[in-house]
Amino acid sequence: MDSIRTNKQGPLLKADDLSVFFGSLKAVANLQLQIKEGELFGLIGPNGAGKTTVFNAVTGAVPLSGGTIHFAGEQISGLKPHQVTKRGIVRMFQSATIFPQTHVGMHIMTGLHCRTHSTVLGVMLRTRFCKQEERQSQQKMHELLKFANLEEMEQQPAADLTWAQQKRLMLATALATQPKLILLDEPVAGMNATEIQEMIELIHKIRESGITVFIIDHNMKVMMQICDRIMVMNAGQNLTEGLPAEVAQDPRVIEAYLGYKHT
Amino acid sequence: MEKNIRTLVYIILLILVLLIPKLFPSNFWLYMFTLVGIYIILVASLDLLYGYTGLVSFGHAAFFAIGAYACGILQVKVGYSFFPSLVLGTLITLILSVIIGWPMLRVRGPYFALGTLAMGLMVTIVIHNWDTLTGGVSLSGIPLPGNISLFGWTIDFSSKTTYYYFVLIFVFLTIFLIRRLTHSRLGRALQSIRENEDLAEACGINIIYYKLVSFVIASTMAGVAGGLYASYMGSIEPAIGGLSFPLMVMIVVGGPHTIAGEIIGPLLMWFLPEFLEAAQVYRPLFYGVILLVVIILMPSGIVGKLRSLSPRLEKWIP
Repeated sequence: MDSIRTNKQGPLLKADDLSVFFGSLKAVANLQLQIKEGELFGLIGPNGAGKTTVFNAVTGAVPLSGGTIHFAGEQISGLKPHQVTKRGIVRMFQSATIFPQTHVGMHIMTGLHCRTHSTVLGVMLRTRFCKQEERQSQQKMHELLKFANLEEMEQQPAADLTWAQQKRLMLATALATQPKLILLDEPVAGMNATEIQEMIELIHKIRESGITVFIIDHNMKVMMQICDRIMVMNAGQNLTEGLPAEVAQDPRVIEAYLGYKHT
Repeated sequence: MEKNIRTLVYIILLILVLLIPKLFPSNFWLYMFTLVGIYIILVASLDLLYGYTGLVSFGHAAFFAIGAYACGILQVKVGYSFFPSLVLGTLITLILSVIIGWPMLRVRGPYFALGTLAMGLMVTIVIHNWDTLTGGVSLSGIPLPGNISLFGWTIDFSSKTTYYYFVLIFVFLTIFLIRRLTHSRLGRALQSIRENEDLAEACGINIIYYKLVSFVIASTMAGVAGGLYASYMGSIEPAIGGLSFPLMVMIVVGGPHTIAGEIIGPLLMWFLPEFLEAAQVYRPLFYGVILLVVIILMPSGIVGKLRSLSPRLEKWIP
């Protein structure tokens, strides 16, 4: 039933010579990227390095200027965003982009859309299949709300939530699409220490459930703490890659971030 | 307890609606209520497009005209009777809405609204100039549905009362279907598109497909309304394709994505000018002023405003 295929041998996500140009601006140029299944992979780099563009390219939100992207052995470059989501890659947006007028519960239900199958005619006639599927969706929604610690908020408009709650809602909505790989764009930006800790716990839980995590964030402390491997980008290109501790010591990384050599 | 009272109030309202031919026996009022019924179908279907999917259309009446002309021509020129014409006319509207909607829905925001404006004008011009098929300035001689015998009862469509009930069935059916659609997986997809297209797409929703579904369903319902209108009026003019602006005003004033708004909008905009002597002459001006007042004071329409006043009212007004 599921269209998600896995490829145990090769990497889960693999980008070769990935390039995205906006006119003469080379946002991403000949980038190499490999993420193994089950990994918690971090991407860092100074502002404007092209990190978010990498996410956009992977999810099909911007067209590639060159290169290919493979997911679980299948080429996904050129697919539309909704097709990418259907194949098992989902992203949580950088800003807490929500459906403002919509209730919290509805967000999760929207996320469940791509794993449900009721047709237009089916819902008009309210077939037994549709009713059953709706019940299952409701149940899954409550599970996810519980996961994101938003159970009491189900009937609230999303615009009424706090920033951290909105972020958790977006995470739960993303998880509702039942991904193999989740892309988190600055999940802890703008949060206080308690909220960050809560988010880190959620990320660990997601990973324990078997979902591969690909994360961008500016909070170095958090990135060093949670990532298995970190890749550093600068000016649209690979700078270095390795264990968090190795990356932190790399003089090129320090230079890219601070603009001069650390003495 | 409160739920029971609410159900009772709805039943009383329903009985009042059913009693309208008794309460307003004059032909004029029945004619007005029947037309309001047809407008409710139009406005409710436009609400699926505007209120739920967030697509502003200034061309909705084009499909009303297509439905009306398809049904009319099938009866006058081909000689079919009413019901086969209505089914076939609806099918024609459906097919045309797919053909028109497919390329148009690839653009976003104001470009789509502009496209629908052009489409509305084109449909009117085509109908006007294709006179061998459409009769040019007007297509007349469209018959009423023939009498039907059911279980010893004869339904006589030449009676204004019968036609009122006939239209009422379609009004209920339209509202019922829209409610089912919007409270489902499909409705959630449409509303997510209205709220945030990029996020909807990231959630795995094929936005072009669902916009097209919404457009085709809404247009087909407008086509049905056209078929009902053609037979009721007996003659139709190309100008009915240009009624999209009043339809948008009705849904904006009534209150988008609410059942009550879909009903109150057409009721208000039809009957208020009748009671205000001057407004009849200056109807377009009246529409403009009402629209301005509502947009400034009640951006979510009359019903939206009422619903926002208290959670209890929100429960009472569907």
